Amino acid sequence: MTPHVSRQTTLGVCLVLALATLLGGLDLPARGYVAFQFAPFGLVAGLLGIVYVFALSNRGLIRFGIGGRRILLIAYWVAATATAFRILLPPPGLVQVGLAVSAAVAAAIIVSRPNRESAVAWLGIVAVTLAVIKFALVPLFEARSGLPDWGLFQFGRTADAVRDLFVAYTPQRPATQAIHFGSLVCYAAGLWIQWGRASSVDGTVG
Amino acid sequence: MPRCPAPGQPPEADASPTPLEWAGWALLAVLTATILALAIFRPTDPSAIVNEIRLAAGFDRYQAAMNEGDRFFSRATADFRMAVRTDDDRSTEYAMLAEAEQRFLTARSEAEGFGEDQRAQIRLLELYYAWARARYLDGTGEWYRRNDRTILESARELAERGLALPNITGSQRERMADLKTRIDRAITPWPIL
Repeated sequence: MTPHVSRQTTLGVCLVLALATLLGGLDLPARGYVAFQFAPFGLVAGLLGIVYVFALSNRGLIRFGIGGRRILLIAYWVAATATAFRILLPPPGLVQVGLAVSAAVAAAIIVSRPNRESAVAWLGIVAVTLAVIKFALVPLFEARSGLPDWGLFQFGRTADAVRDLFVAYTPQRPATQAIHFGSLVCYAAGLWIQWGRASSVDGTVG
Repeated sequence: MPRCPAPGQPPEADASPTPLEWAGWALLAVLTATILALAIFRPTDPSAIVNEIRLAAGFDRYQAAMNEGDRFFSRATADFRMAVRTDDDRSTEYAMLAEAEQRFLTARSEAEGFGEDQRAQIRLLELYYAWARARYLDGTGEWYRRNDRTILESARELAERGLALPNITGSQRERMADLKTRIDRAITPWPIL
């Protein structure tokens, strides 16, 4: 049976997810003259968003209800989940490739969990792992090679190009992390609003 | 009289939206519209948002276009001054100069009277001068390397665009003509000349 989601719950969830999408798209670049920019999620984050919304709804973490509100909730959940992956995935490069594939595999693990408590724990593990790699490991790549450029022999530029192959790091101002954390808090609030009463894995609210 | 839900159906809590709920839906619409507008127009500066609204709404378009053109031009100029290496990729700066050119051309088309048109033309000439000079520096390099003819021809075309402006002052025209002469001299098949 498809669980009922009231209009008030739909509104509350959509509001926090819209706020999560808005905050998660804001970037404050540390270089250049751009005061701020809004960068919506890309193809990889969007696909991961669809996969994870399926996985979370399959485990009963999120519910869509019926009718027009179903479409509304699906749209906002996909947008907010994709934005969360935009925040958590590192910039393009081989590191992102590996992590995106790992996150897709982790979605299969979430689907295989017997209950929603275990599924949400796995969601947290995926989020923390991605965050640690992006915010603790990737900034190490920012260190310049220090190699010189001598005429035809561009050692420094070659070293930087190799670095960009792994991750094209673009530093952000510290406030960006606070804004993106706010976005993830809004996303968690959406999960919390939909948590409700205990529900079984087949989606029926008990 | 409130309706009773049918057996097996969920309770109907949606019957009458309160004013607070309407306010919530309105807030959701505003948030969604903001996200879409930010994603489509990609503003990078608070003043840019105001200027773009003025340009779209048709309110004082001349001044809004001049402000936006100045903003792009000043950023590109600052980037050129901060560039450490002359062989750095300058595609971002050239894109900003192209944006500035479009804004100044819009300002020219919206100008009312000779004064406003001349102001826009002078800003265009300064832009073409900076653009052509940057292309000239890109096209010329070390004495033992051949100059890049394609880049220098694009620099000459920019200089000619500047010289074609009808209402610029004599000294400005002379400065641009000097640059064009230097560009013409650099277009040579020989490395040293």
